[in-house]
Amino acid sequence: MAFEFTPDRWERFQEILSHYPPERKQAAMLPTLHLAQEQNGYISPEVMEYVAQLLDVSPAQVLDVVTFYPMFFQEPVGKYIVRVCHTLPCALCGCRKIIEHLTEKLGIGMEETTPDGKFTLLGVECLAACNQGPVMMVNEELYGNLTPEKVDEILDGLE
Amino acid sequence: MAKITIDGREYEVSDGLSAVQAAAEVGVLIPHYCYHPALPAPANCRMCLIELTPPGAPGPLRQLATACTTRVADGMVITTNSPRVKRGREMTLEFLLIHHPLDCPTCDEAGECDLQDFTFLFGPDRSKYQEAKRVPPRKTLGPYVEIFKTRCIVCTRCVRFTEEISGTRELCLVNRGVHDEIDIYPGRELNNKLSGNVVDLCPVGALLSRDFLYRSRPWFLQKVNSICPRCSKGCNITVEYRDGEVVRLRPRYNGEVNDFWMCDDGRFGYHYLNSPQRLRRPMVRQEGEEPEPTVWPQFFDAMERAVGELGGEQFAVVASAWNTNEELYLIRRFADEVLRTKRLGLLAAPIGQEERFPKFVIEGDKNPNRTGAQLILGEAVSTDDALWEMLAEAKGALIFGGIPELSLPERAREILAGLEFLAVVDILPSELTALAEWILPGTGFTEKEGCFTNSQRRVQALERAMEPLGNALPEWQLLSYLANVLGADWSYSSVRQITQELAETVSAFEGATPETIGKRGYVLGSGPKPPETPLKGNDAYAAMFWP
Repeated sequence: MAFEFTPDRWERFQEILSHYPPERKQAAMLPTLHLAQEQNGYISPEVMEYVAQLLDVSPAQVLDVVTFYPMFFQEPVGKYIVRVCHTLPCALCGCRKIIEHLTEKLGIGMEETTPDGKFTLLGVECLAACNQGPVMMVNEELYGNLTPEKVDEILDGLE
Repeated sequence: MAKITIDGREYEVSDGLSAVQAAAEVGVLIPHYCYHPALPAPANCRMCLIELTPPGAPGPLRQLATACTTRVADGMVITTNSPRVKRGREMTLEFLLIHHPLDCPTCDEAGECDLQDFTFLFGPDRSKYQEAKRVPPRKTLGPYVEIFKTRCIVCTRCVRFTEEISGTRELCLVNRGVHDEIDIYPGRELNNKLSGNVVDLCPVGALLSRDFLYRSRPWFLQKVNSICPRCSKGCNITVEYRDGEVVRLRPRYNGEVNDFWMCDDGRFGYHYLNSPQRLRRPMVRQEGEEPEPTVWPQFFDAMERAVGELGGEQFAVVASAWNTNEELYLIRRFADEVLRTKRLGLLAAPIGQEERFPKFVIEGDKNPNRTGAQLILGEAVSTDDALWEMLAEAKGALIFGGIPELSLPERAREILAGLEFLAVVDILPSELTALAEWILPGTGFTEKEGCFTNSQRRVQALERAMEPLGNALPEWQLLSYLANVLGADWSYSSVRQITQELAETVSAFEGATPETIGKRGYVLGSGPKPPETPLKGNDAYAAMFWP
């Protein structure tokens, strides 16, 4: 199935392109991929080929970027992406307990997605909020000073 | 010129060079993997570490610098042999070897591998690494290239080649850090016409030629300098051969012709030379029968009789745009002075497609020596349609073929079949030999000495790799014998002598003597050649680091 930007995203793509010289469209690779992932949920081969064509690069060059950055997904992911920090300061503040609680509550392991497609659980490096450790992000939202109870409250509140 | 100091000695080196090139100019080897002078320098392999004192600085920089990204400048001081540099190289190699399988006994690259050579010269004698090595799979990337990912040190020379030189961008680096792999996009191939060059560029045994895979240990190969015959560009190449077979062709650096590269048509288009079908002895065909083996004197007698009966001026002589300058010169003399015929023709492979890449052009003229032929045979020579019309008027013909995969128009076959006498010199059974009464074995380009003149009018020399096959005669000898049978008094004893005579008697070739042609070629009309100087810049780099 071919992928293409919806009309409003096409406008946003044009806006992104306007930041870069026309002969260096390649520079718009990261924001374009984020925009595509926002629409498609993940970066499928169709998305890579579409983006390559838009930016005058080869699909191999898009693959290069997509596989470099862990924030791009090559497989479908859940509606909510839960990123739990497991770097040293959060580990000292007890993130292991939070991770255990999350895997039990959602019934999945790290890097997995719930069968209903609602949650994907990821362990990540520093989220730049060490003073609030342990921390996690749910999609774009950051939550700190986590306890198992607070995690329940956050996740249960999601549609 | 820049005055710099390397390892305590002062040198003058060319301006604008990287420290790797500058050191190569003065004979100092700085080991490196990711750097190549024709590609951008990402400084990712960390092998070329040097101790650097920038001009005017009181002492060396605290950290070791990468020579590949250091541009030489007046007053710069470089140290490549201090304990710090030695230690730096050892540690870099220890890292590069962490995941390398050390499978040199079964690796084609062994013997010409930079990882092997620099480990031998500069490496540590032990490793602290005790974990499992990663084992990513071997994979076919395209028609000519195989990747052994375990051996890859991720220098990305190949990726940069497809970005900068071929512009085809099929290769990429997938994943990150220790998981890095060179790869192609799923479902696509590395199949541009310059793909073979990534094998030469790969400093380890990761990218290998599928054509050469497991065919020979490289140290058993004999090598001569030659010129690729697959188009009029005249790429400088090395012919590598063993036991009478061509095993591999690789480009030689020539900054004015082909840089470090050659195309796949040329690189892999040599197999016809090894064909079991190659003509090895003269053959004669009685009317309506299969050709029978014969011996050369029979042919000379037959030619003498035919010239006597039909008249030399009724004979056509047809040269090939795959003949060398020297062969063409003798063909011209043979027609003018021995047969005294005006019927002189030139056979050529059809013009193909010119293919342009960002930094390389494959010429459309698929003949190595059309320029030489036109200069030597003159404007009056008949080509294409005029060639067949000219032959239609002749009674006998001596045709030089030697053009692989040549196909003739229907009209040409009718005309050739109508000749009373037809002798063809060729290297393989062809549409020409199918019609010939006399089928004479000639030489392929690896069995020839002589020169081709490329489309820039650069005369470049072929060295002979192998003897002519079986009873085949080099064309210059065949023509000499034949001329003398027909009453001439030719006494050529070497091809060199013909090269010299050509330079002295054909005005376009003035100055193109064996001495001026040398290894780099001589551009016609460029006047006296300046005296040889020590190799500079990329020439010096290529002499030290390129096959």
